[in-house]
Amino acid sequence: MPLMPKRVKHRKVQRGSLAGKASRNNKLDFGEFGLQALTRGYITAQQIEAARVAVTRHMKRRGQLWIRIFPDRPFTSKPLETRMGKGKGNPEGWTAAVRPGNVILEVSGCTADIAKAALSRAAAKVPVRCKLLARY
Amino acid sequence: MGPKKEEFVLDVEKRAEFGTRASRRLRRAGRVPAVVYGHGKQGTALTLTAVEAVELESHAGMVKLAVSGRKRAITAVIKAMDRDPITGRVLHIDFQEVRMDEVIHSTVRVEPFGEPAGHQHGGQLEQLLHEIEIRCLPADLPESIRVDVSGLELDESLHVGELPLPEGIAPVADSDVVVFQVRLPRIAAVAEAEEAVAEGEEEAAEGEEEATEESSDSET
Repeated sequence: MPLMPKRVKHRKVQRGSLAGKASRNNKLDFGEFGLQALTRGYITAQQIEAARVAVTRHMKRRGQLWIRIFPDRPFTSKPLETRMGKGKGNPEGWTAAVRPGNVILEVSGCTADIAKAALSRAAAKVPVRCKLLARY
Repeated sequence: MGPKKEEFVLDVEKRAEFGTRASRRLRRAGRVPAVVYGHGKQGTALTLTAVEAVELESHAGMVKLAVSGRKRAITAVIKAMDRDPITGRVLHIDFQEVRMDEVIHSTVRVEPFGEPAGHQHGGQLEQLLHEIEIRCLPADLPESIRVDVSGLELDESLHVGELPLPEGIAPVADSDVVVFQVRLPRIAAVAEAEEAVAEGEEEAAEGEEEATEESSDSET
């Protein structure tokens, strides 16, 4: 079950702005290694889930994982073969807005090699360029 | 216990320009804006070279600030260091002026060493507190606090009150705050729980099948 909010105030929201760098959630707070976004974009709940699965499978049940972003922004799309107009499309899923500097995932309890390999697999699942962070 | 911080002498200059644009100009010119404050005095805006700022990162602790045009150096500790979250470049440094006979609050890193005993039983060391706030004299300020975790068994934890702090150093945090613990990996625990649930469902399904077979037998 992908991540999504339990209840929201508005079903559809405007896109807003992704300008600027992340001013919070931009450093390691829980784990020893992390995955930090270098570009901006929207990461869907399915992509976050794919990244989580990639990390847990590579770490083979060892270590601990933290997901630092949450998909709380709905996105909409229009049905196929529909003419333009007739209002905004239907909500189709949830995304997390990510700015450069945001930490996406954190892991701990494994060696640096395993953490780096696992996080690089996760980096391949998200639509932003990423770099690896290490605490020491 | 970690080594004590070395005294670090920095050549700094007073800064006359303030604000975002002036600070950006300074950074482009290879300098880093800084400020020193403390003891109820007015803060003094300073600059230092970016090279020194980088060196300071590995010598976090007590420093002597040799301000140009001033006879006596200022003894200070690093109160805060702002970094660019992406590049890691030092953007600004806050120094707090200290006297050698006054107790100060500072944050030091906690580093584990040794392999926990609970590791052999599948346990895994978790560090819940990476930095700890301490109270001590400036001269006693350690670089880091190294903790031997080899005695930790599975499901055991080490609290702030049990940290081997040297004399003259007292923790600010409550003594019952957990710093390290050895537990079974959380992912493994979840997986085991899922397996147990799956097995339970299978057994239940088998039980149901048997029951239906028995009932069908009795019907015939």
